[in-house]
Amino acid sequence: MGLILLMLGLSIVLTVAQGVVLAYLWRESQDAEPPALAAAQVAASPQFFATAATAGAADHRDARVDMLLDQLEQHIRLEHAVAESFLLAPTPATLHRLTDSPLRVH
Amino acid sequence: MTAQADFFAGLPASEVAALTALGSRVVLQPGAVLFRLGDDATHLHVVERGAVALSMPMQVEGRHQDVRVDECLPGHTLGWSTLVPPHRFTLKATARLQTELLTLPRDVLLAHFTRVPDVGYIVMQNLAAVLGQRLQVFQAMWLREMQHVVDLSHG
Repeated sequence: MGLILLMLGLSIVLTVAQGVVLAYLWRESQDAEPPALAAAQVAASPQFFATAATAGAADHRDARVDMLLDQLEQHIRLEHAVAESFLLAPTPATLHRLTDSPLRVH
Repeated sequence: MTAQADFFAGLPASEVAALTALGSRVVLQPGAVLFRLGDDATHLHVVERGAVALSMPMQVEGRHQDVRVDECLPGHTLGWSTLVPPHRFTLKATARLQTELLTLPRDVLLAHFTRVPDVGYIVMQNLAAVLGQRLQVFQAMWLREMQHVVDLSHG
């Protein structure tokens, strides 16, 4: 008799608990707005293997072009100077005088 | 400064004043373009103050770049194509600093030379001297580049 009562009590408790869980789940599914997820703050990962080429390719290219333009203009100034001095004393030696232009490979 | 300009070399002060009166003064801010490659050449310019860079286009890493090939300082004249057919500028001119120019229109100049041929004769002599010197300089520069090409290709 006691066992029967115990089992009856347990079944009642379990039934009530199940009902509570189901009610909770049902209420959650009926929420008007889904729970907002906070924007994840993603910390910048350390770029152990990043190089200037990946991080600032455009800036690097502009700096390279600027350097080449500077070298070009220096080369032209040097060549112009040699040509003008050739006019003052035209000889094969003055015509082919070497300069220290950064664009000349000797 | 105008009297010492290469354009006026050999002219008496009175003639320099008469020619100067034919023109107008122009002030360019740094970076201002005076004329571009291919533009009609209708005005001669005498630099009185500042500096004008003359550039030509090159392809550098797939992009068009203006490369400075010469510079005009006070006393220099630019825009000689104004007096040389086909009257088109073969360079781009850009003010490097705040620059003041005396600008002389071709038709007014030529009309003056017709009225005063002695002045026209001296100015054309000056033109021939400037262009001749420029031709010889660039001829030498070109030959030096050809020598470099030969050295690279044939050791």
